[in-house]
Amino acid sequence: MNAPLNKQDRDRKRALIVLQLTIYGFLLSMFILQLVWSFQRGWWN
Amino acid sequence: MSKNTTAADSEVDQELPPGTTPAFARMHKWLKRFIIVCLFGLVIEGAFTVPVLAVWYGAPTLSLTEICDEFMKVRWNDEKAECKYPHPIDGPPFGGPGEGTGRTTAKTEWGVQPKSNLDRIGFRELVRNKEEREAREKAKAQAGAK
Amino acid sequence: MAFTDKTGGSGRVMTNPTSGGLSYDQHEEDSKIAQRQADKWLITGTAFMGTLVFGFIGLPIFLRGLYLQRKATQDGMSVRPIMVTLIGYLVILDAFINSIGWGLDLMANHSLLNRVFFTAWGNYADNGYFWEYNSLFIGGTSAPGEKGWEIACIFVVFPMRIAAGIAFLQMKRWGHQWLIVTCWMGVVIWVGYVVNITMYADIRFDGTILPVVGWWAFDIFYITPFLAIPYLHTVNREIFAD
Repeated sequence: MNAPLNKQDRDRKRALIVLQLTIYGFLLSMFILQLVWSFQRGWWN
Repeated sequence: MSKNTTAADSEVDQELPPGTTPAFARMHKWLKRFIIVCLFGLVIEGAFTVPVLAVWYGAPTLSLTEICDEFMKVRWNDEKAECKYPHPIDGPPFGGPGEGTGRTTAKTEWGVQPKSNLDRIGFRELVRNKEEREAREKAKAQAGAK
Repeated sequence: MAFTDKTGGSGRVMTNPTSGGLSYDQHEEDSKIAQRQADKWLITGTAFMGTLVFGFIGLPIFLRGLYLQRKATQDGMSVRPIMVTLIGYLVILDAFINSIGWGLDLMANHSLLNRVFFTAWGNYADNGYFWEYNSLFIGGTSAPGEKGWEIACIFVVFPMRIAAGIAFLQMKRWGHQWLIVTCWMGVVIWVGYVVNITMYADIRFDGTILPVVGWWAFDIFYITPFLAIPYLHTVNREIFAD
């Protein structure tokens, strides 16, 4: 935390954060899509 | 990736677990917390699933075979559908026709993306289904006997 | 086990320079014993949790193992890092539960328990496991695409993941490497599987007690591979021996 990051570590960290954002973003969007459909198509009735 | 630690860093390093460099210490800390949350979540939901489902669908009022039977009636929309127990040896997966063979009562809308048109089963609705059906059959039997 | 020697650490490891060799061997021996003791509890706990229904028994046992692991670390023993322990066991648990669940759907779908509890779960969260259950020639769920994912996971990914997880827990280099590979396979599985249920969303969610929400609430806890990947890519590889 206190040590300066070398370039490789910095890139690695950035890439991993991008991965997390992408994958959870994907899951969230699928969830929202399904949820919207659930109301539109009347699955709750 | 070898650690190049200075004297000042070694103070912090002492608290770090092996394998964790200072650059990633915070990331590892939060990953550990989320992993523990997942562990608890997995275990708790796993433990509750069977009892909650059992009670929702009529246990212990209904035996497992009766629940299976009621499920069949709902699934195939047919009061005569039965849950054969023990399962016949000539049914899937041991070969033989699938469960739906010859059934025409289901409400499925077939197509590339089928729609089941099934209604959800409410809390202990299977118990009510069974009782209503038995009452109806008794009434019919009595009416028939007259 | 090759570890970077914890000089200083918690400052409680005594190494007399004149009899350094003897103390080191003793330290190694003590560490092995401590690790084995923790592992006994961890393995037992995981085994119970893997059955899903006995999870409540397994969790306290597992937590005790984790406590022993942590205590050994604090006592200056050369034991496995906590994160390695957590990730290793949880990945194995994840693979095990899924394998058992889908294995039952594949091979025990004619049993009464399956026909009650799988379809019950189906009615709660995933209509694909209620609708037309046992209509396929091999039985089990008839949901489009489901059997493909079951076979690929049970017979390819999960065995690989469990093997890699065990080697990872043994601090082997190949365990670390192959756990990375199999966790990335997990990314593929999640994407493919979620898109598949979205394609056939009507058949999967219509008629359930809790459409969409029920499935996600249940299955979100299986994202362990996503949490393992960042750790696996940032851990110092040298703690894993060849």
